[in-house]
Amino acid sequence: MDSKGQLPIEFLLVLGLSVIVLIPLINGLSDEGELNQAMSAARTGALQGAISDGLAIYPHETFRDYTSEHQRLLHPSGVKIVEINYLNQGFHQGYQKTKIQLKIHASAPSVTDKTDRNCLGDRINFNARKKITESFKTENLTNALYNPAFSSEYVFTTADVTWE
Amino acid sequence: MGSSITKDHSGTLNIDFVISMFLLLVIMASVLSIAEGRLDMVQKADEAAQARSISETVASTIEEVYSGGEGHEIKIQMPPDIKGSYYHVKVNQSGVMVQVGGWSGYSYSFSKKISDYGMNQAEVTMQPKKNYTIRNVKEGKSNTVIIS
Repeated sequence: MDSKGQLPIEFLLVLGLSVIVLIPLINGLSDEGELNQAMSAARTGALQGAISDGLAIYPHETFRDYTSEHQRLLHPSGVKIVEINYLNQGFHQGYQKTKIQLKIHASAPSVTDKTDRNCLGDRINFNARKKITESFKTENLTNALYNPAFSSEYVFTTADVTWE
Repeated sequence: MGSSITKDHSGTLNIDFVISMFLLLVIMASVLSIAEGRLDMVQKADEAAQARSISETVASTIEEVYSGGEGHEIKIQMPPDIKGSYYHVKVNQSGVMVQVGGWSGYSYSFSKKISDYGMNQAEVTMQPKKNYTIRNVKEGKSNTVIIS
């Protein structure tokens, strides 16, 4: 019975400690969740780019460019995403967000020319950044190439695709 | 003891239940967001695969007709749409181009004369949901593939 409405000191201590522990924990979990969402979106985008590369189905403008300069890319080719990882480059003063660089590893054994591979890699990176932007609905913050892509705590760039 | 757990006269919820439901909702929201992105990707991949399939089918049919010699003909029916989107196929002497929803793809074939029934066109456009007869016709010393 507690007729004076008092709480025991143990309860208050546990409650205070819980709040102190929970606040940074929730912050950390939220950041990790955001990064997780971004990586998942990047993976989806990279796969989409690889499928477009693999089936050689491109937007009209790109198609016209390839017709004159990269005719090999008009043929289907097996493009596979091998691995996607990221590098935390620390807090960026300009953007006031933590900067993350995505590194995508892919394989396309049938495309050997370096410039052709660059074109394939650019599409993979573009789609990865695009999906991140769409996932966080930050289209108004970025440019037409979605470079860099933004979330609320992070800014994402992409390194050149590594071909294996 | 069991009855004291199940009886709840004041309509309150167990804190464990509330926390579990909260966590479940958080996880569900994140999984649904990932699933939505993947479904969208699959839809686009399917559209691209069907576009590629149509252009390859037309190109290989033309090759087959050409290699079959004079009089060889094959009838093909064009699909009504690609995942609900309008498309069209253009055939010229070097290959087959398919265009759907802002996207293009091309299937090469060995250079040969292509025409419609008018026999005076270098490019023939094939429309969805139509039947076409692709025929090898002798024209002077060379053969022409007629699409009608």
